[in-house]
Amino acid sequence: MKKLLDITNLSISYGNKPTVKGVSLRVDEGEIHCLVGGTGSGKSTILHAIAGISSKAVHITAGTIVFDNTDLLALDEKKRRQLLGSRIALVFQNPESYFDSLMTVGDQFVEFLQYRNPAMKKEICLEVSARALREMRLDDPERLLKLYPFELSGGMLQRSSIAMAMLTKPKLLLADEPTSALDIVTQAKILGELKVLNKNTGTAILMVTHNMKVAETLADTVSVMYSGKIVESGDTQTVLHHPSNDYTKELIRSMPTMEEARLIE
Amino acid sequence: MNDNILLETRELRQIYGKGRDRLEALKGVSVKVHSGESIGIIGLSGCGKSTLLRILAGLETPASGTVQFRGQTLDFDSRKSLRDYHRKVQMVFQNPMSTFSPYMTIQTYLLESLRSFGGLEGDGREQAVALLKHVELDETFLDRLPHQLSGGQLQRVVIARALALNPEVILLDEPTSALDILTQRAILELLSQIAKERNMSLIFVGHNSSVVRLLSHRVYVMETGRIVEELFSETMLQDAKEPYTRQFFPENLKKVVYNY
Repeated sequence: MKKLLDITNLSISYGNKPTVKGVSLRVDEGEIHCLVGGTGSGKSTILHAIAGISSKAVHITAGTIVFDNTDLLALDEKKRRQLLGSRIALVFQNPESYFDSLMTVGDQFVEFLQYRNPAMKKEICLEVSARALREMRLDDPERLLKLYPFELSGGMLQRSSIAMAMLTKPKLLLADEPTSALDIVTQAKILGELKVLNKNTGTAILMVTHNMKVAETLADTVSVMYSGKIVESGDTQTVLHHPSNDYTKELIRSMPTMEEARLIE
Repeated sequence: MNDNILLETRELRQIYGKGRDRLEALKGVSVKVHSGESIGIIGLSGCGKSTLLRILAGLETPASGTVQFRGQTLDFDSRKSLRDYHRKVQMVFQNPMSTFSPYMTIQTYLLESLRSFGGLEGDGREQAVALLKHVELDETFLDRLPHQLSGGQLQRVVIARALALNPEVILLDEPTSALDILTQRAILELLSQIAKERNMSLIFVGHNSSVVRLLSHRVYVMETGRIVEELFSETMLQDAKEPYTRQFFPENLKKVVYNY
């Protein structure tokens, strides 16, 4: 498999506090990799560093992030911006934060497309957008494009944000807990969409999640993060069924199951 | 005959909006909680489970139907009736951060309900320390502000406050869905321990049956404003008949994704 993203020895500080401590991570072309860990483990910090959207208080103190043979950290701001939203795309936990609440979904799709191609006519933009939404199995996309974000359910909004992120046919989709805010049934459907999208387009996915079940369902490979370090990584089946690290074991043990003893008598 | 029924709703209906926007959120919901029993309510977003919980909390008046606590019908128009009820039935919300004022110290927050119900002793500091102890936090938290606490710690504080009035029922609206797996486990264990020690009933609303069953004896499954199935938590995996119910089992995740 060809290397798509290669992170070596990455260290990141928040103010003076080290939050990521010498992390190495590799995602191959077309691969789905899940970065699993608890709140504050540093997993989202890594995702933000790849996307180049870290806050001002964040400093990358060591390491390299190589994407498609380009060292991202050596690029100037403008070049990185161009990469994000073209060859690298990003979706968030809260799809509400992805959209402007005062613009219709359609206007935002048009803006997204015309920013990249000012010559593209509005009708064409809307057609392309409707097709993208239909591919995410959203009914009546023409109507949906006329709605404001608050008129959509969480699941519909998340589908829409993925559809928009995929408009540029990125090679890498970064997903930060994309299903954690959704109920379990909608969660399953969104994960299904991501799987299909990965299969059909070959877009690699790097997904951050605290949910082992989500990783098990979707990922080819998994890394487990604890306190800024990767404590275990490998193919999903091995890590989940034969974990070697104590923290990984604890994460797996803590997943509620339908078979375990209940906590009240 | 109804001696052992602690809390009961009969034919609750709730309607939001008018005309084109009219939404019947509850279409005749009857549930029972026996003394010493905890129940779960499972359903999709928008099925009415949070509406039911808000009515059970006395925060919302139903369009019709009744809520009875120990055989007494709750009068939603009477402040006294509601106040007496609030002493007995307390609510914990999903997102701990949203229940705090950013400028209010943890001590002030903890003592709010004691203050409003006239149960404060002195400056209340000792009571606040005792409450924190129940949720395994020490007194160093008292003077902190909400943003200085983690999500799990905040949820513990919310639970501590709910305990202040010694309620008999605690209503939990997805209390762990904003937390990571390890924190979720810790909060679930804490709640089970508190329920046991105080012989309290929990009413746990959620969408993940593997979480809800951990803290309930029976589970009601809700779909578009109605109860569609009622199951014993212990055997729900085997007993569930409705395909709608089976969607909430974690195994469904794999099934849906693989068949996509």
